[in-house]
Amino acid sequence: MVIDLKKCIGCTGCALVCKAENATPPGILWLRVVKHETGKYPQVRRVSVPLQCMHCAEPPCMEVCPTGATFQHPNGIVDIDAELCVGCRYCMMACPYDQRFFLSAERTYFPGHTTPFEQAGYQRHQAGVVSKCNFCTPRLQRGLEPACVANCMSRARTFGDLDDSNSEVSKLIRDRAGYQLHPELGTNPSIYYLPP
Amino acid sequence: MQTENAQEDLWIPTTCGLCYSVCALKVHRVNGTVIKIEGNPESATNRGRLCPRGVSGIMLLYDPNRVNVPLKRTNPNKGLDVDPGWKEITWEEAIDTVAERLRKIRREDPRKLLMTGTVTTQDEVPFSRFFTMAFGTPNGWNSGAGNHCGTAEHLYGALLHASWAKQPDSDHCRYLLNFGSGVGSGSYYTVTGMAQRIAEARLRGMKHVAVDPFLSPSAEKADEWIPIRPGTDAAFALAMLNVLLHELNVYDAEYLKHHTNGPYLIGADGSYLRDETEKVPLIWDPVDAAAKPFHSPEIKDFALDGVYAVDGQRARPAFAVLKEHLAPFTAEWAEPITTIPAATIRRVAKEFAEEARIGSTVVIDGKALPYRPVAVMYFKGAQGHKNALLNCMALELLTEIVGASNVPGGLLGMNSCSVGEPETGQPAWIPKADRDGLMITGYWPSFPPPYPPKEVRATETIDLRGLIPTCPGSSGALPVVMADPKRFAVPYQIEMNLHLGSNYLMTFADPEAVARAFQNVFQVSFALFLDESTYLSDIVLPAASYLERLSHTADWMSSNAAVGEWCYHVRQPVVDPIAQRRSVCEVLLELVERLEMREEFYAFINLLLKLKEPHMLDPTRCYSWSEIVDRRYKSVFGEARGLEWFKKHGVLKWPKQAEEVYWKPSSSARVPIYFEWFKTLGEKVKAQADEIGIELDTSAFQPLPEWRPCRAHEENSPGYDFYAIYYKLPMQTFSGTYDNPWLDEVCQTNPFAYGVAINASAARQRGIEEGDWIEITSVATGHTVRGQAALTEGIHPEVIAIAGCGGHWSKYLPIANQDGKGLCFEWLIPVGLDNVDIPSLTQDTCVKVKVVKATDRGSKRSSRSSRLNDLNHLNDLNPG
Amino acid sequence: MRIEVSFYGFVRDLVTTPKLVIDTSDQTTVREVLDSVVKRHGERLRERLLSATGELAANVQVFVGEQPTTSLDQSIDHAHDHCAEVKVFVLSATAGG
Repeated sequence: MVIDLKKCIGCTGCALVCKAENATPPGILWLRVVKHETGKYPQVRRVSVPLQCMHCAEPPCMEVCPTGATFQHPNGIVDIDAELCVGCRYCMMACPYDQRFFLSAERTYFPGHTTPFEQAGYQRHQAGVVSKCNFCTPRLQRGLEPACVANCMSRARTFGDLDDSNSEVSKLIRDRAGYQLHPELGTNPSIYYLPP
Repeated sequence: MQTENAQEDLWIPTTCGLCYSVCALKVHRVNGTVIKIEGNPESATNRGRLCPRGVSGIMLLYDPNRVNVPLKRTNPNKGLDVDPGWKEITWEEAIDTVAERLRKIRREDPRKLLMTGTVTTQDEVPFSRFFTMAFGTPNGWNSGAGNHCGTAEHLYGALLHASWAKQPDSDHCRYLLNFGSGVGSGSYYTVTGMAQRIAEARLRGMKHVAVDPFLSPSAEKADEWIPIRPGTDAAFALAMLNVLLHELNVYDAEYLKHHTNGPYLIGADGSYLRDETEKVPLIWDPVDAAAKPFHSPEIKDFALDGVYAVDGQRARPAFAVLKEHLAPFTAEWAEPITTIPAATIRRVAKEFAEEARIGSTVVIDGKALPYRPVAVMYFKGAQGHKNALLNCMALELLTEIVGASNVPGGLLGMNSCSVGEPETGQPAWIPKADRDGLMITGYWPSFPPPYPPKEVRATETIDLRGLIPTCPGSSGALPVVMADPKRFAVPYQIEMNLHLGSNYLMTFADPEAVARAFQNVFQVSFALFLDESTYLSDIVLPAASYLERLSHTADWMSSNAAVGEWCYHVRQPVVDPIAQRRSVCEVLLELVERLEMREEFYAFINLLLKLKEPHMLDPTRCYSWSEIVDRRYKSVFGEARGLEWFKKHGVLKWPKQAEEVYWKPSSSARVPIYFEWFKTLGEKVKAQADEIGIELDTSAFQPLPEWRPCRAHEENSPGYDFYAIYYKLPMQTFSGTYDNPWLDEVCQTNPFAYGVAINASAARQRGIEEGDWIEITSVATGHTVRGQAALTEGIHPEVIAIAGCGGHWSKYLPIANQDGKGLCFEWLIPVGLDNVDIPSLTQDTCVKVKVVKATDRGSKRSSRSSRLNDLNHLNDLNPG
Repeated sequence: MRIEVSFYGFVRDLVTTPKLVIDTSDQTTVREVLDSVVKRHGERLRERLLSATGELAANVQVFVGEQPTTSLDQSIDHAHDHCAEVKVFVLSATAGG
């Protein structure tokens, strides 16, 4: 995935469309947007940077998982099998991007009340396990783009095959000097950012 | 979301109703539950995308804190913090009570009825205005008059762009100079569509220069941020105009001659010189050395400069008067006012002048059109000040002088001209010229349009709009007049408020003062939530949200982007109204029957919805709401495209033609660069005000722009050394979305959403660090609000900036009313005519404040006025 | 001729019976009809309906039968049975943000 920071306006629509698509429980945002400010008044730059699971080619989270719950799909997407996860949270400590989330207890957005949406959606989440972005694998299986890509209101996100040098994402990375976050860690993330 | 084992799995087209942008939706409903809201890619309005509010509508639909049953007040005392003592009643009892009150008022004096609405109910408010009109009252108020909406800005929309609002030509603009508008960044009109279009323009290389006290969401995305002292935008613009005309000698002479009143001759008294016989304005033809009527076919050329003697009178073209007027406003003059170096102003003026490419053309749809790829945008930031009329005039003239108004690349009216859908030729409107050759809007979403100038009259409305007819929108005077109508010679008092989804206590100014105006009024609220303003209600009716109701029109004049396609949508319920919620329009129809005003109401529907036979309403029978909606669609779009068609297809669209988008080159209607009639209008207002016996400073009724200090600039009380300003973020709409837990969750990830942006150095000088609780006290109201400091280099050192309308205190909003959920900016802003721009009735939303670190850590729980708890004295005003 | 004049909108505080019937000659104009209504209901009605220069106010729309008219000098024909219908709408602002 490529995220164009020149296009991104930091609206957080991606964070919430992720929530709507995946029905993540309260306190869990698989995707969030941070503000990064540089410079001194009046020469200041503030950039919005969306963060989510980087789907590293060399995922440190997978290495430390004692049960094999964290796995890589053949297409490179890093995923968690909730049935295998024992909630030890080693992976959360291993993730240098802080993009794994532990659901300690089942909660709803309105205390003492479960909305019909939550009734329908929370069946997919269980307390005591770790969860995270899986690039909307169920949507990909239906031939759709991840929800954050499909909804981005500044069209800052592009999804595709990094291994195909002719893909749109590969071209963008080449033409616009795309970069990974913390490449020095050797995790080889699948999310590239285009400079603001 | 998975949809296995679903008996029902539907995608229903409708429209979002969480702001005035009206994005097209596809709502996914599985077994009766809404599980996803997506943008409808069929519509050009939002091109399949949604903002964070749009996707979070599910939580509004299912929020257990929504009003689900009719309620009546049991506590006779009213006040900001006084629990109304709600008691559940039946719809029958509610309607009986409301109908009885309405009947009594209508019999006595229908003007005693007020209707307050908000711009997020763009569908219900206009229809409800038909109701109040038929009822016989002229009184309505959209509470965005405070810190949300345009007022003077909409006036210039009408005078210069034939539209309510405007946007840069995102397809062709190359230089966007933006004074405090959120265009492209998640606020302002067509939010979602423009976010995409402006993002594309950024990649295309459009330079965006943001002139803003705060590195706002919009300024963050600019190529250059120029911090400015609040309320001095006009000084910057005047200095740019000075550089353009006196240093660079850059202006679009052809445009000024043929499309503005620049060549009209102005006499010594500041008025047009007029032709003896036709009484139309004269111009000077330098070839024949003669004055001629502006529309004479004998004109060989128009003089823009010079001094001429016409029938013994000394006359100059309006452009020459403007040019001379601008002479003192040099970049050096503007520097100490704006805090922007003169060299920066000169550079921006030069870039703007060069990028305007005067004389160049571009071929669009086979036609060569003037190409002026520069636009000057502004909205509440530049406008929300005491001198709104003159501030906005200065900003608008930048675009006009270089001929970038409604041509490719420039500043475009949002839907100034419509030739109609190809099959039916409807809806259609085209700007036209009046007798003076100046433009009258083809369509204006109110009555009557701001030009030609209206008569000045003793004020019959409760908002001074009779006396001050230049106010185009919601009036900043309403709470002032309503609190003391006698003083303004208004011969009645408001007795009842039909209150439609506007939390006016939190969106205008000092809630205490606004409450004083409303608390003796019988208030009937159609409400989604028991918000702060419903504390003053007598009856609360559970309203259906945008996801639960049918509308006669989802769209309005400025819900389509300026470029692209025309799109007309449906708003239909995606689920039946939950609990006892009902659609406002349906309830109004029932009230019409109860009040026996069907004949009058239908006459207004026929007239204002332009229903055509055979779809006009026949008053001898009673129609359901969906029948009326069906008739409206069929009247506009033809027999085959009634409500059923729209419910199924969601959107009807067709491409915009070049002459609709870029309407100016082919229009014979001129626009003013010299606002000749303002002066005489002001004299009339003054005379009328004197007669009524009210003191009114009408000195801002001027034909040419100036910069004048606001109250805040002249405030010298020691310790009050910050300007407090307000701005918008894309995560909340006004005050109405703060109980949404999803939006709350993302707001908590953004330090500015609930915090107070303050310059890092200025904060540290006062011992304030990131996250510290601070107290902000207004010099004008004396109120104090509390919030957490968000330190940033991206803000003018004299300024603090507060986002949105947080700081709720209603006990019925359990998510919004928690500590640290933003601040209620309104506590800082005073109510009063000395805080209002008189010609446009724009509320000044900038104030001087004292900022100190909160010493009492225990009291940080309160994020609102510390005086709030002492407001019981308000009840003394209530006769009970 | 018998003319039925109906008033709609922001005028009810002045015209308590929104429908009135007046008898005129067979040759009459909108102006004459309004004059006669004003005689009955007072000068304040004239101020509401007409501008200082005696034109229809900008927010007033008049229909003779089903036909809209902007001119006070519009003549009213006795369409049939020496009857005609004049509708007067007094509009007020609908928008404002």
